[in-house]
This record gives sequence, C-alpha cells and structure tokens, in this order.
Amino acid sequence: MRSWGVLIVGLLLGLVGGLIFTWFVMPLRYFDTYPPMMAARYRQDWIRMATWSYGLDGNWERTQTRLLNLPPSEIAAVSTEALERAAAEGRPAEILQRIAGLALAYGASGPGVSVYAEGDGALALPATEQLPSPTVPLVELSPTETATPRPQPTPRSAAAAGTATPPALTMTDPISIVSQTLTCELEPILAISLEMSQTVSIRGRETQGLVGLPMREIWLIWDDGADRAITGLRPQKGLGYADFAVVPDRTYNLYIDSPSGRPILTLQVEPCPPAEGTGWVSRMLILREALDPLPRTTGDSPVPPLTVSETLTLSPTLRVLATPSVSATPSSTPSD
Amino acid sequence: MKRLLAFLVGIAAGIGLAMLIGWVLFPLDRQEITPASMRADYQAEYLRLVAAAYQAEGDIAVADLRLRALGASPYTAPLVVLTERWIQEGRSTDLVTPLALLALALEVDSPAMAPYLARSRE
Repeated sequence: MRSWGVLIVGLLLGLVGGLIFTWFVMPLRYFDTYPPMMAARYRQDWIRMATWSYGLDGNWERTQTRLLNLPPSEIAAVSTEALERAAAEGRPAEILQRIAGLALAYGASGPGVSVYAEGDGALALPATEQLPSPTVPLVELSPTETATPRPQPTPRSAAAAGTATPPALTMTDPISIVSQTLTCELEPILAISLEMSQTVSIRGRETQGLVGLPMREIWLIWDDGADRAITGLRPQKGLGYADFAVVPDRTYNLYIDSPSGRPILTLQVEPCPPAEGTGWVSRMLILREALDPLPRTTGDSPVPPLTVSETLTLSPTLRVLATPSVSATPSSTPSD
Repeated sequence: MKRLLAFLVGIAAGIGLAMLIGWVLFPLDRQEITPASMRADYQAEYLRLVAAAYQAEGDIAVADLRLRALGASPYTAPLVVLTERWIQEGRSTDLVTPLALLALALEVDSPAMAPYLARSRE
C-alpha cells in the first residue's frame, strides 16, 4: 500500500474514533449559557414568560434586558400568540395593551396587535417607538342611517310582526342604538358593535365614515350576576365588536364602560316565532357613540324612552331578520 | 517508516477533523441546551419569570414543568433556595412574594415565607 493510501486509512480511523469520542464519550456540554443559546422550545418559553411578566409589571427596561439578543421575529411571534391567549381569556385591558405594545416594538403586526396597541398601552412603549396608525374599516353611511327620532315600524310580514315583538330600547346617554338584527339560534347570543361616526379626509375629500371603537367595556348585568366583554377582542368581526352568551328567563341590563347609571338597553331572550322553529332570538346591536358626548345621566331624571323600529322579514330558512330602517337618537344629543 | 508517519498524520488529522465536527460544527447536544445550563444569574431570572408567569397564567402544571427544566433534585430546590436567600437579603416584597406564592402552590413553602404569604392575602 502506498503512503497516501495509509494516510487516508489513518484519516478515516481518526475521524471515526474522534467522532465516537466527541459525540458519545465526551459530548459537548454547555455551561454558563444564556437564553439565546437555549433550544427553541426553552427560548420561546423564556420569551413567553417575559411577555407575561411585562404584561403584569410593565417594566420595559427589564423586559428589554431579558429579551436581549433574542431574534425579534421570534419575540414578535411568541408575544402575538400570548396576546391572543390573553385576549381569549379576557385579561384586563392594561395587560393586553402592554403585551400588544411589546409585540409591536419587536415588529409584530396584525389586527389584534393594532387594536390593543392603539390604546393607552401605547405609552408603555419606549419613547423611540412610533406606533403605526391603526387600520380601521371605514363604512360609508347610507342615507337610511340618518337619525330620526321615534320612527314608526314598517312590518313587511304581518305574521312576523305579530310574533316577534322588539323590546323597548331605552337610552340615557350619547350612545344610541342604531340598528338591531334578530336571528333565530339554538344558543342565543347578544352581539354588540360599538362604533362612532367620523369625518375623514381621503384624497382631499371629506367623507363620513364609521369606525369601530375597540377596548371599550360592555357590561351585561342580571339579577344575580354580571358579565363583561371588551370590544375588539375579535378584530375580524370588527374593532367595536363584542358578544355575550345569553340564556332565557333572565332580564339583562346592558351598560357601556361601567355598570352604573341607567342601562343602554334592558332585554330578555325570547323564543323564536313558532313559524321559525325552535330556538331563541339572538340580537346583533349596532351602537353609535356621538362625536361630542354629553355628560352621562346619573340621576333618575325622566328620559323619554326611544323605540327603535324594526322591519321584520321572514326568510325561508330558520331566521328572523329584523333590519331596522332608522336610528334613534335623543334630540338633546348633538348630531354627528 | 514513511508509511507509519503517514498513518500517524492521518490519524491526527482524522481526530482533529472529528473534534471540529463533533464539538463545533455538529455537536450532538446542540438541540437540547436547557435552562439548567444557564449562568446562575440567568437561572435566578428564570425563576422570577416562572413565578411571574404563574401569577399571570395560573397554571401550576406548566410552572412545575418549567421548574423541572432546571434539572435540580428535588426540582423545587432552586425556588426554595432563591426565595429564602432573597428573604434573608431583605429584597423587596414585590420580588419575593410571587416566588413565595409559587412555593406555596407547590407545597414547598417554608416558615420564612409566611409573612410574605400573609401580606399577599391582605
């Protein structure tokens, strides 16, 4: 055998022996490591915990130190995931805003992050961070949405009008109920969309648009309980959207922002009209806040209850649609 | 003689190459660097985070798993040791209480933690 052949044999033997030694006899062991060196699952867990901790204490400097040298994309992804979980669990708005601020600072995007970061939590960001303008859907106002006090119902179906009586909607403050849609469901819900009319300038033209109002508390109170929802938890349904599961045989009072004063609406879950089959009436309310709201009514001064008319239409499917034709706004409330 | 020299050179080169591959380029443990290998100050920070996350998430099973990742025996030892050390050093209540609460949830709280736990109940 020639010398180079012997050299290759030696090389192979050394390589095999060396790999057995370095991989199995004395594998590499790490000491005094730090978070960026950890395996992905531990690294992501570290980020997750740091995110939760920031949500609780709001200590931005410490959080930055904890996340030093970790990949921003990983931080963005994990903090967005934490935000979604926190939102789904109905965590306090302050925590959601902080987590959204953190996610945004590390480059996360998406409707959820925009919704929460646009609140006061944006202050939690370092001063150098600039929040992008939130993307809000603009909805053109149709002429039928012009406020008209005390509208008259226009039943299209005598049967439906006779069986599905809309509840009296009372208002006490600058938030008005502009429409109500009823559907027949086996598991009824009360869905709310809180919005505000705004004048926006698009290419120099002023247009009236509707924007959803996120991060507002909606309270549903009944005799021996209460439930709270925050608008915007499901941005895909609208920034001002929130909903509640409701059950029959309860009288609910609906409040915005705080469960005090007079309710926006008092309602009960009613059975569907017999013609529509079994089930309960679910409601989708569109509430609109005036641009320059008046102070809330705190006393019991008589406020004439306003009734929103509904046009009830029977559809061939199991649905009762009640599309209101007008809104009801107290005359004392400044118009948009 | 020349062949022997070539063989030894080959062996040496092979071992060098294996060390490069086995310890630098493709170390076998690369995927499993756990919190147990972190520097002591990072481990203390890790414990703080586990306690804060437990406060936020309220999931004792997850907190349990996270503590086990430190590889100590018993696995709650680092938590107890750190909490008691910080109590002894007179660290702030905000710092100690979450750790004490986690220790309580894991049933490894000690008499030294009692005042912090009592204050958290107020």
